[in-house]
Amino acid sequence: MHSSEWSLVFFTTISQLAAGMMIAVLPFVFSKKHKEYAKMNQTALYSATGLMLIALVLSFLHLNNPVNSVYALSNLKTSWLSREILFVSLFLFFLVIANFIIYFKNPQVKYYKTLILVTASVGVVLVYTMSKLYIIPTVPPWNSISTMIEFYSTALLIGSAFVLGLSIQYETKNKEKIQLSTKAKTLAFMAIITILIIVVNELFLSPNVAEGNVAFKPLPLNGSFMLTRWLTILLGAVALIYIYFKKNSSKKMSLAYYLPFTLFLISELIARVDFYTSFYNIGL
Amino acid sequence: MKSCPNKAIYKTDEGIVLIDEKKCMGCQYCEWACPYDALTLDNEKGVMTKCTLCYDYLAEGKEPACVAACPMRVLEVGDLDELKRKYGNHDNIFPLPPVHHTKPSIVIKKHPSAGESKEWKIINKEEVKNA
Repeated sequence: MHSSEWSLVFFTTISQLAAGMMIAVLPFVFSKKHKEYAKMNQTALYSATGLMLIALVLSFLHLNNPVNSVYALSNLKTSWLSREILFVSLFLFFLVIANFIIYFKNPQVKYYKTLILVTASVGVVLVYTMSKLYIIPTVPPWNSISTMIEFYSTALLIGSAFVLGLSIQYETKNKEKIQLSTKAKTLAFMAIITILIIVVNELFLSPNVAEGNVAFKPLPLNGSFMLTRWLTILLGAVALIYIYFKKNSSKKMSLAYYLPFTLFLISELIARVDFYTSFYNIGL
Repeated sequence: MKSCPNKAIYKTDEGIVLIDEKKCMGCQYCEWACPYDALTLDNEKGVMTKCTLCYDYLAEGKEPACVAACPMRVLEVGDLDELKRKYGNHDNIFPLPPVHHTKPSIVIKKHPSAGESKEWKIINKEEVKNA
């Protein structure tokens, strides 16, 4: 992996986290008790905006001549990178608008819900464009649907795990002990399903790099890194299942509910490093 | 050309692919998309660079520098159809990228031991790669 690709590792993971958070927050935004979740939703929105601002800075760090980025939307007709840049900008734009409305005005519930839904949808399209730009015939290890599944899985896994932690933290703010809400349980369930998808994708859908008319293949990532990737995801899954079946969640332990998110984030960052390390192109 | 977000890569009337340095932002996406590994980053300028086929020499009626310098006289530049008539139509030779991806404007007079199958392997990788 080139050193310049470190910024891409963090840029893609952070943007996917922000998109995943906006998807995971939807059940709370559209809940009948949405007013109870207003503060939590606001925090999720602020966090996603902050993350996208960091992602934007990281994307510029990857450029060797950022001044010419003014031309980056010139080729929307054929370039997936151009389309990705458009959707990064749109996603950030909608996030900022939603923040503006929440911060400076009393959000009119109907308008606000639609705006969050549109923002989450733009996030979904952003992950799509991001994966499409890597699915190119010249790079066999990336040129498969597996890349798209990997990117959406990252978004759903770390996004839902973060919002789960956030929801427990907010629900235990005014009560010593709470029972996990149905929405929080849905997020935990969604994360578990996503882990299963990640495992299936890795075992059965990843392209067979032994095929193809290629001269050079990369050295695989150090085995201990991959072991850490699978151990962290396994530990995160165990923590999630524990949270799911635990009868009461206490205020004292509220920060511990971010443990699955932390473990999944580490795991997905290692997976992303592995993704960039797997690069090789056809021919010479 | 299709991959460049900035439309900084263009083709001249003569079919030479060039880079507009005033538009390139050095994202290096073309480096991934190019099957020939033809594009590299100019670290000083922060923009991508590639072989220009010495278009300025060609305009003056001279040969490209590599053609003129080759001691074994194995390189030739000219009209593609004319070259095909002269040397045949061999272009799908391992380890060059598969022609269905590239549709190359190139003609190679095949060495008798050159392979077209993926069964063939390069055994002197260190010498070939980054040579």
